[in-house]
Amino acid sequence: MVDAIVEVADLHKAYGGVEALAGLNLRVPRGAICGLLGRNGAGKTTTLKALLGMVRPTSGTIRVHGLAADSADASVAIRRRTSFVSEDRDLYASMSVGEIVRFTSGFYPSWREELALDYLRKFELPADRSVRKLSRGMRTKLAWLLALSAGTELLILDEPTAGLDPAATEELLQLLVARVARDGVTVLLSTHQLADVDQVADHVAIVDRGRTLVDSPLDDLRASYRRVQVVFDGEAPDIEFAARGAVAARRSGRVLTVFVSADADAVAAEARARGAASVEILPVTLKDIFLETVAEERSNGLA
Amino acid sequence: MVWRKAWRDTRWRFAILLAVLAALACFNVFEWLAVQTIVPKLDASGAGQGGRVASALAEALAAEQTFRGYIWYEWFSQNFKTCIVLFAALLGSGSALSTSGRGLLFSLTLPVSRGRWLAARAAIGIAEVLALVLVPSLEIALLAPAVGEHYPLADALVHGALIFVLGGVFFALAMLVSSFVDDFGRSIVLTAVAAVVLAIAEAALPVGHGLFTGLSGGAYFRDGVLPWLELIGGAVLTLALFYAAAARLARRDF
Repeated sequence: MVDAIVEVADLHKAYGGVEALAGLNLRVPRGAICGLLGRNGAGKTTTLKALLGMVRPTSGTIRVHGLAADSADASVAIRRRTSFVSEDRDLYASMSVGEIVRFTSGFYPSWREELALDYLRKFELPADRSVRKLSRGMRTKLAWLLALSAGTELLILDEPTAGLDPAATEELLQLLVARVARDGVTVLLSTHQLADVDQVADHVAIVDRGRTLVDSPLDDLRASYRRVQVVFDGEAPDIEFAARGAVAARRSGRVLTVFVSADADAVAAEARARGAASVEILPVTLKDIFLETVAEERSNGLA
Repeated sequence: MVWRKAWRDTRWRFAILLAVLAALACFNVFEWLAVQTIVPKLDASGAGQGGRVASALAEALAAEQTFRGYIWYEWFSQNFKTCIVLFAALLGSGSALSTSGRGLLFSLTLPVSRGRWLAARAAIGIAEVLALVLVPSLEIALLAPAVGEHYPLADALVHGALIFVLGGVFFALAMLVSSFVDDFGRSIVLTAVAAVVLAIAEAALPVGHGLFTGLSGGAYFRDGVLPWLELIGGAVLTLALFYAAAARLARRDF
């Protein structure tokens, strides 16, 4: 089994009576770019905060770099080896760009000064400009600069491209991929931008209602998830598939569309046995996987 | 770095408060020129009869016959005492992780324990309160010759020490309140309300001891006696409030 830099098991977190995390499991392999996907309120940000010791879990275990994240001392050691870009780019408004770069550099023994200077130039960040006066896009770039220059082994990014134009998004994603390739950094990327994950991630976790629905290498997902489109001569029948991979089925006139998470051939064979006129197995996108998985979870929850 | 951040977060607030206190101290000294001509002309025969207010008036009139008494009553026992309670609360308000509330999450992502953030903020804040107390106290002693008077340096330092130790309680109280609420405004209002309630309770229960009684330094002015009970109690209370703030901050979810 591949060495994991983040291991979360049966994580629960309740705020008052509201359960934000309900037994979440997550495993981020070392050196991977892991996309953490979920709807609003699914528990993504709470999970990231728990990894960094910002929230204390109600129960469950969290290990980052092999250290228990819910221990105050270990949490400091974890943060020395982990960088974070928060969703709201919450930086010190009273400092200038140069000041916050110098300030942050003092906390990381592995700080990469040459990278910081390089990113300052690349991102066209004026060192003497107050953080307060930066646009949201510029603040995002500054947050990336601080995270990437820290020389840490793990980057945790919460909606890191939100509010950026497509060119800036592409620039940052390319930087991220290059950094992973060159230095073997691990990235945990929480985002609603499925295209970003599709482009750069090699591992995906989908969470909903505080639980993990999918935690798998992206290539495995792409290989196993399929859409089976079945056409009948008459009205498509309501079929209960015996094949284990059938996740969801939708009927529309003569067409029955089955979303499968594994063993598409068995589903296709079953459809043919029920008198299908034609059966086609189609590839799916990450967006399809996400939407169908979450929709299935919701319908199970409502049932 | 954490210390520098704590200083950066509060330096302007501190500088403004110091300037205000320095100006007020100067004003109080020069006000003596008017007071010393008016007080002897006041008829003090009726004061002292008719309850607490009358007694206070009598004490004020008696004290203000001399420069030493005037400075004690007007400055240390009234203006400075009130200002330092409010100013200590102002300095202690705002999250220890980032006083303005901005950058709070960023502080939490840095490899620094919450205890260290709080310790740095408390140490810088206490040093600032000390400066807020020392500068105007020494200023009184230094400016006294300008109005043809002498004010003993020892008196200035003793009153300053009392105000520092007992004013520190309100700084620590503000830090505790701020460990529950990040918003600077709410923190200062809650601390001020607590201080007012405490002052009213102390006035309503005339036990002869209390934070505000100690802050006034009346026992030292009148009899040269230090209020040890208040001093020790105040120091212990300050430490307890810091401890509670640290414990609360360590347990808090962000």
